[in-house]
Amino acid sequence: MEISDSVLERIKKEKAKPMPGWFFRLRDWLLWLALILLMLVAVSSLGLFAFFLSDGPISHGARFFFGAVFGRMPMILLGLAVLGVAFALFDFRMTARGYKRSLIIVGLIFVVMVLLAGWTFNRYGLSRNLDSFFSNARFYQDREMYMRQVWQDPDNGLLAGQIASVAGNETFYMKDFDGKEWKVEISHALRRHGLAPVEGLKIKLIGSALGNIFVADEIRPWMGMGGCRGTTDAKPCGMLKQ
Amino acid sequence: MIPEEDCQKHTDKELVELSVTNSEYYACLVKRYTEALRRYVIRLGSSLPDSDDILQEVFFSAYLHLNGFDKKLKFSSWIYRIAHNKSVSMFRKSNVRPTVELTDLLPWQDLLANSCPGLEFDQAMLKEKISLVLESLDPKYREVLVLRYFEEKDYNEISDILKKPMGTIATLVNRAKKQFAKLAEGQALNQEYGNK
Repeated sequence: MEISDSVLERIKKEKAKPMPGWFFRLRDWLLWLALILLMLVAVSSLGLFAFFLSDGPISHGARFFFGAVFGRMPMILLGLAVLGVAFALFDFRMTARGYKRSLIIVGLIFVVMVLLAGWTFNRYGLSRNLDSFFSNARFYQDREMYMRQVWQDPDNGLLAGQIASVAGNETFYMKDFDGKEWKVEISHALRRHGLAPVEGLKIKLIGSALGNIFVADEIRPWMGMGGCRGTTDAKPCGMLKQ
Repeated sequence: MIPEEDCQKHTDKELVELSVTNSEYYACLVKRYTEALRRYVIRLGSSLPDSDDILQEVFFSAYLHLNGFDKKLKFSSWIYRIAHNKSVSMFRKSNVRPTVELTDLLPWQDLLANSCPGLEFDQAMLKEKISLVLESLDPKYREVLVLRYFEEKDYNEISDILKKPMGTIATLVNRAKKQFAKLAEGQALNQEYGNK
């Protein structure tokens, strides 16, 4: 029996029909969609990782820097970025013509794209927004605890806590995370994100401590823009008057 | 059954479209590729009886996936790809090393002359020696040599069949030729010692 006859006989016997065209189109779309999502995961993870680095007092010694790079959360983010690119590459290889391109070249293109997009992500404040978005998530508490340890270090010029009351535009009183009260001078301080002190605002400071007075060189919101929430003012702190 | 003259009128791609709505047209495609694919799967290492089973599976599976056929590809590349995958999966399932049956010696002789110009084999032993060389050749090298020198596919088609970039195919062909030459030289040395 000819192969053609036996194949036709089998097709008729099993009432086989070609699988519908939409199934293959859907599969292609899903592969491209997954590729975009994986790249987004990689970009946002890298953007957040860059934010962790840029948000830390790197000039204040290596301790924070190493923590910011090798702490658990940054390592998870870095791992996510690497995994995102790796799976995106695998996914690309499965697209209809993906095998035509060299994996090394495509991999390099993906890495450069993720680095550039991650940098842009951080540069234009999207990482900060993402950081704020996650700030209440349970898996993020580890970062909060770590940040508290790092910033609760007045002898080394780092202090963080919540503003208790404001005494004019250049002085306020705050309670650090250990419950100690401080008078804070911010007349010469750089105010990140145009931050103005309002009661209830969680902040972090770089400067120097003299007894229970802290002279700030720089004042930042605690945990990105999310730190501006929970203040007595409904407006985000970056929008408050100086 | 579609008459042979009618089959001849259509290109592969037209037959694919016709087969989706009328399975009788699919027989034209099957007839067109049966012999070429049979030779191909045997060259990859299937025995003659196994080759018919593989071809059945290849054509049936191709029929089910007709709507997934990428029209930018040649139909021959697509059906060779399915045949390659089915053969490899059959070797894996049966867990046997593919055996090489030399149905036509000429392309290997040419390749041998091309790769090792100074090498001479006793004509009586040539077939046996080439079989030994092919059996020792890494399967990934054997499959590119088969596609390049027996099926006379260009690098672009081999890339579509094996789903590898063209640069990788060029490297594989190069390495395959080198390994083939090295193994052939080894066989030639054995023959010399044997004669002494």
